Amino acid sequence: MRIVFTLNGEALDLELDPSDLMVDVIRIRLGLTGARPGCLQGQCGSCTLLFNGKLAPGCMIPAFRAYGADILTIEGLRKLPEFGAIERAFERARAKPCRFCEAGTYLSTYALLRSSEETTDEAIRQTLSGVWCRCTTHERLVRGIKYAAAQGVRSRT
Amino acid sequence: MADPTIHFPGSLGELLQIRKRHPEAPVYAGGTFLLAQRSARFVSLPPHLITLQDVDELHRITRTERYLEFGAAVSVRELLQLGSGNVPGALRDALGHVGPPAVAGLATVGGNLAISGRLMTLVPVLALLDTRVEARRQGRSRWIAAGRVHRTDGTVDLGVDEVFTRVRVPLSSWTKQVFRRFGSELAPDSDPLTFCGLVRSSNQILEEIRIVGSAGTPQLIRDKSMEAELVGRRVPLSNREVRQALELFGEPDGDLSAIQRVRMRRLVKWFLLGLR
Repeated sequence: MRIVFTLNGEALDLELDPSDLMVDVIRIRLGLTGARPGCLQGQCGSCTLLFNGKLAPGCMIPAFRAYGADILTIEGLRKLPEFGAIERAFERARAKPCRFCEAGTYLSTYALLRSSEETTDEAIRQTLSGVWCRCTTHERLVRGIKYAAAQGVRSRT
Repeated sequence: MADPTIHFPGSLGELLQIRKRHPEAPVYAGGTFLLAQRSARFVSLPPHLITLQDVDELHRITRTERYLEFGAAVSVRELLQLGSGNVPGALRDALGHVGPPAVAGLATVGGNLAISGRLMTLVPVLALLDTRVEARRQGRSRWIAAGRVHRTDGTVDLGVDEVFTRVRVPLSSWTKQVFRRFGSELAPDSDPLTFCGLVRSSNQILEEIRIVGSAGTPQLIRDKSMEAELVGRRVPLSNREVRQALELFGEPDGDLSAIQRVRMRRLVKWFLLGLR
């Protein structure tokens, strides 16, 4: 099935098996390995993508759903100036997400900062609830996101 | 094997036409239940599948003074983002339990209602709030009470060419709304139990009380005779009144585990003792 979609700002027109999972399409077919298959139940956050501007687990999106979609992966986020600002805020809070959870942590943070939601403790914790990994304590991540918000890091809409 | 045909209707009219032409084709909303149930690294797709992602009418949300109405394909996350003033508290709590933020962005209320064989997280709350769901086919529309969407055998009361289109939640004022959930309906061995209680009281007199539970099985656990018995009582209830209410409530019917039975009775007791 021909599927036309945008990945990290680049328009793609690919022949894909509609029953494949997007996390596999992105990793195996397109070689972007930042999104990692973890629980494959949409719970752990390691395969998180921004799908049409919203957080979504790559393991819960069959390829046919990508038709016409705009997808941002952790690799795409790294190229945006907001990533540097978020990374600096995390460094200041001594929070360093590991390879397993960086897609979920950074993309969740980016999604929260671009939303109109206030960055209260509750909103931050709710956002991070989709990332199971505890390599960096949540306290540090919460602090890091607050630093990023205080510095006026607002993602583009 | 040939690729399955995926239909992307762009309007409700087109969706109903396709549904009539392919009544055997499953409707794909958020897909979260289907994907969580799969055992392989891919999704098994039928020869025809209808996705709802481009049907604008199913993504609309309206709020009036009397009710909140939304399309069946509105995501759980979109409803959560409406804020506490626009969504009844118990429903908001239930929506928050559907899954982590990324899953809530995909999961839909229509999907939660349309799962056959078991009642998912939102069903008991929607039933207790007197929610109605619109089922449409070409040239016909009917409204079903959320508590009657599932027949006693667990099948969903939806014709072969029908589709859930709208969900209407009355915005009645409740003095107290409580929602609790244990386990997960996706894992029956976790002894899932969903509990919801609503109370309307005035001058410390109970005007209305509703209590419901669901163990994931097709039947709701509700005792209207106990509720009727409690109406008109003064709160807080005495220990004796709570004990009498529990005697009326008895042992929950249905195929429940010992843990689910005990938990349900304890939740009813806790809820009644907490009334002020």
